[in-house]
Amino acid sequence: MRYLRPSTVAEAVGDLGTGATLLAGGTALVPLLTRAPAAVLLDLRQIEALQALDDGADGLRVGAMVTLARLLDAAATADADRTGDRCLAQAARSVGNPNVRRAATVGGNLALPAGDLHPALLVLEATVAISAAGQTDRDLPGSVLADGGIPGGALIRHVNIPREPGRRSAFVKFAWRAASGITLVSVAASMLIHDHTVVAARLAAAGVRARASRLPEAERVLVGQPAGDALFARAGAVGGAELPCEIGNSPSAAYRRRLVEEGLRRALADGAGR
Amino acid sequence: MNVTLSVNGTTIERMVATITTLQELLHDHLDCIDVKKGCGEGVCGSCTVLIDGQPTASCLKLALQAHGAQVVTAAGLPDAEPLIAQLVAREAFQCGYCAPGILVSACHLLRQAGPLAAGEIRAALAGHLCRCTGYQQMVEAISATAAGEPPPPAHQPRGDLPAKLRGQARYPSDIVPPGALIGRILWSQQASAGVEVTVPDAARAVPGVVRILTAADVPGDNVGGTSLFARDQPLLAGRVVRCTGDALALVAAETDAAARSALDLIQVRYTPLPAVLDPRDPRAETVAQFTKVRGDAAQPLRGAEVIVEGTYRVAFNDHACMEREGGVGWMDGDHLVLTVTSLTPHTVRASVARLLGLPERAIRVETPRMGGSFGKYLMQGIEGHLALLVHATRRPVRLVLDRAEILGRSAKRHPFCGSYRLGLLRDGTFIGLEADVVADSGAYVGLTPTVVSVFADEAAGAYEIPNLRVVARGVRTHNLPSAPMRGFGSQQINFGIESLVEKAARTLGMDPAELRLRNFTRTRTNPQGDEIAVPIPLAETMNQLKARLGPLPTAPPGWKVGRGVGAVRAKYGYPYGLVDRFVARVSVSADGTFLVESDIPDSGTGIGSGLARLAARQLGLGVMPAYQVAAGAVRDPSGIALTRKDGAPRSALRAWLYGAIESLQIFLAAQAVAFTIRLPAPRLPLLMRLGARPLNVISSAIGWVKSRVFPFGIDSFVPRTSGSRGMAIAGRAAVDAAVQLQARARALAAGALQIAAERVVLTGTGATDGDAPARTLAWAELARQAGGTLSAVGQASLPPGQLVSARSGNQVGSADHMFASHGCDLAVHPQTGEVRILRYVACQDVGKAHDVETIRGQIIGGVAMGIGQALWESIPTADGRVMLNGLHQYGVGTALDVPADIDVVLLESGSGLGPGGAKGVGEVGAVAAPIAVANALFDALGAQIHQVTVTPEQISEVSR
Repeated sequence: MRYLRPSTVAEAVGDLGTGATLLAGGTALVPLLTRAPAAVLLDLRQIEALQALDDGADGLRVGAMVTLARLLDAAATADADRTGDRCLAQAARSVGNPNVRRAATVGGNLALPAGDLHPALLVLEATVAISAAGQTDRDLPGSVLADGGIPGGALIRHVNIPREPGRRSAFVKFAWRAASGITLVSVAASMLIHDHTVVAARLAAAGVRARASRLPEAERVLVGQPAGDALFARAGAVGGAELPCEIGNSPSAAYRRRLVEEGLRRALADGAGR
Repeated sequence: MNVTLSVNGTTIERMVATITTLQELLHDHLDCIDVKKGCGEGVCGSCTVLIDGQPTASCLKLALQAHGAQVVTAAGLPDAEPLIAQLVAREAFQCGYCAPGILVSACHLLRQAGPLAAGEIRAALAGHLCRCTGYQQMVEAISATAAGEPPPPAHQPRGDLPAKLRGQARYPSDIVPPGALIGRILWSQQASAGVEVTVPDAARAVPGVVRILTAADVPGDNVGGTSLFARDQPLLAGRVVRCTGDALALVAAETDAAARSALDLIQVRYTPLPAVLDPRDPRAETVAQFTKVRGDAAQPLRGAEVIVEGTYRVAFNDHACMEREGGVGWMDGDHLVLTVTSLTPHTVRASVARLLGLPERAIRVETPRMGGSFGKYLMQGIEGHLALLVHATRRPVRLVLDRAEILGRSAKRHPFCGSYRLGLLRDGTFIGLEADVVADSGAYVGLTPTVVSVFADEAAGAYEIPNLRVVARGVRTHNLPSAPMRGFGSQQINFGIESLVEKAARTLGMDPAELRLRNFTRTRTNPQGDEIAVPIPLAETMNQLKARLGPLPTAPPGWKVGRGVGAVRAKYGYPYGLVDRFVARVSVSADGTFLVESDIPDSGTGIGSGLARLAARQLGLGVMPAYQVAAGAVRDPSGIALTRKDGAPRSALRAWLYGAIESLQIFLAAQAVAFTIRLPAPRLPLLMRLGARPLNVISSAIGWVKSRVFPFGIDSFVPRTSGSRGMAIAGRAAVDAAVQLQARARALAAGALQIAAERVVLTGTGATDGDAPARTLAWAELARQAGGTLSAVGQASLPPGQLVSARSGNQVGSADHMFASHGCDLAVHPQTGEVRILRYVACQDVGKAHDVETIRGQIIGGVAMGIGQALWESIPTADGRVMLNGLHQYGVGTALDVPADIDVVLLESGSGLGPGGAKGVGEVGAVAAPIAVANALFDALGAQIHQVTVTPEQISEVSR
């Protein structure tokens, strides 16, 4: 295995064109290398541009190499206006355990087929900035996470989470145990509520299809209705039923749907409560 | 590539392969043995180090990713001592394998100023798994350190803990001899098949591969596993595989990558055969059967007004010791040396000798310490494979299984299925019980007869049931081999009866605690079958439990709450064979230091310190003596007979005598087992008439020889520590040794001081003339007078067990029992199956509490393991194959899962077999917790849980 440590995005993108494997925090990749060695490993840790974490006027920009621990620290000190991103912090906190989150990165999580951040980024309508050899840099809509994932051969530079005043969001995950557990199902919800009425809603779930997905039918149930436990339960029931189950039978599809239903109910209640 | 980094303040520059992880660089190349690898997945936290000040899992990082970093390991923490003092005083660790990693995270947390909430501490520890303790004492210690409290006075702290915490304790998997080869095993992919193994030249030609071995390469007997009862397990399968834990080939290579490449190239052709995977399958062969009858055994339910029936199951689960199974071997001159995770160095030595066709004296087996056992290392695993590779290559070899191999290939707790009918009167009085219970032995017999005999002995649970018919069987299937695990036999059989009793209470509409109180057993039978009066404080444990539990908490919206109680009567002091004598030696050397020795390897329970403490108390010592496994027992188990200290052989006559006695003993033990399990029932009375009394006489004679002539060198097939017997029985031997030492010291001092022996007063410092206190002889002086070392051997034996089979009359079943009542309140979400334990109370008779913190740690750790077994530790299988790839998929509870504040109530009946009436304590937590949890789920959901481990999905199905 060759090991390269580029110091600029341009350099990395050039190397990537030769079929190299990207190495971010390594928490998901390193254990696999014994069984499936990579020809060339491209360690991104020295690229400063990927480390930036900016809370700007048009949104929160998180560099691909920002660790989940750093993201959480930033969320803990963010001003009240930023609480609309709460589902992202909750999702980040649900990953692995503290000793893993200090190495695991946002970019690395995005590159997984269905990372815990995915439902949160879907409901926050984040965009993903990528670079690829021979192409101009571009921003992909967050929905790419649901539809095929980050394209192969692309380097994630950062994600941008747009500002949306008044947004409330929450994330709920079901796993085997409280830390270090494999995710069974995770859901995220984001809402705008005016005068006790839901005026906008975005819901997403992971752990049913192979990738995280938005739940448009359940979203429609919410919009225009008075916020409250009865509505949230109804949306949960619709959300639990609307996705085709593509993941194996352990646990069963029926159980995963029950988790989506209950997860949505909790996430909506949690989000609305703030 | 080159990597430069600072490790504990020293700049290190090394060439490393890209694939080398930071953990491997630190541990394998730089000998930082405090950076351990328990999983390689970032779950167990044993590899945690500070990277630029941040606690991080070093197994998930390539060494090259740490280029330029400041790395600090547990041994390099500048501010750890106040916390270490707290952790040691509270006995916050047991095996200690996880301790250095936890110390790193805890010290980082403590750098925040001010007190810490328990929840904050638990969250900070969530990246660590501790299999022994249940986390409670370490959270208490961290909290006290944060608050600046002084450590509680621990007059005789566990001697092994400081070195473990400072990362100075070397476990078998920490030994990396220079130039060591990596050993790897090729496992069967099928549970039942004919096989043909071909090693192509391409596999041998992989650069770095030194040897590839198959069944044809075994020089002696191709027998693996634990062959006390049956030699049915091949070390390397050649023609047939019986489970996916069968090894087909071994590779030794210069690097792990080379070894793996060679494994991939070995060709195996499978011809599928029928597989039996359910112990209830009629094709499953019975390999052990015990019956227990009492009263009207033909119709035990006659006269019952109500009959309650049920079938209950306990599934597989894994010991999940934090140290990975394995070890290292090398040649020391003509000696083959193994340092491995094992509780039975004697057995390993004997079987390795047979395997290699060598005399036993050519083999040395060392077990300095190990990162947990929980009964697993009563069975042999990879020792023979390792020995074979060392023997074939004559080079040092390391063979440590990956976590996925441990979960997928090595032995598990015996699965259990019990079908019951219980007859009662309407007032709740138990009339009779029919029980048909079966243990899945897996592919090989192993120690299954032991486990099944416990089923028979304890089938009636904690209850007085006048009419009994119990048939307990062990059957062979094509599942992974089963091994004893914490509370072996007791755990499964108590779950069965307690589930049935719970159903009976709900059928009758009675309070479950009241039904139990009405029926608790009040008598015990001796080996002759006579009832004897001893205190059985079951009612007291239940009443205390009720008082402690208080009112039932209210349920959060959407959740249901329930309360479950369970009462258990569980063995301790399981007797093996006919001679089962424990020996300890206490000695003082000319520099005045004391040493306590026995033949019990310390798996982390603290037994070594426990024995040392008992001796120290008897002698009045202010300083804890060191403990070690006697050199004669471990370095050279037969060495007392065969070799001198300098390794020179003793006379051929002694060698012959030793061998003859040992062979006779093994033969007699095998006969005892054969009486019990092998022969059809009608022939047994005759055999007993012919054989029972002569056997007893011979066994007494052998017992005398063992303790007097060969204190550590005989009955090598017997696991010394097993089933909570070590501390209780060896503890008496340690006290006896101290008493004997005092007698010798008294005699020596009387001579030296020229006074009557009665006038000698012995204290912790030495001997004094009672009439002239100025005239004293220090212990060091007494040792000098005795020629450099003053020592004495003490002994204690286990009383014979209770009758299990009225027909066979054999002494199987436990010598005594532990009694406990546990209870918990929990909340369960009916839709998701999530469970939160709200409160847990453990009330246990410990006989006498010599060391409260040790006992507390054992009970809380057992409860944590038992709750895990009930709720989190499920092992999915398909076609006899375990579908788990690592610890991230196996639910050992983190500090956030295991309930906080497990309330431990100790009762002291003083009726145990140990010193001062102490009992074994280590297993009951694991036995009782699954019962309390399952019964609380029954209460909350209104429907019974028939099997543990129960998954959230299954709970959500039950409540639908």
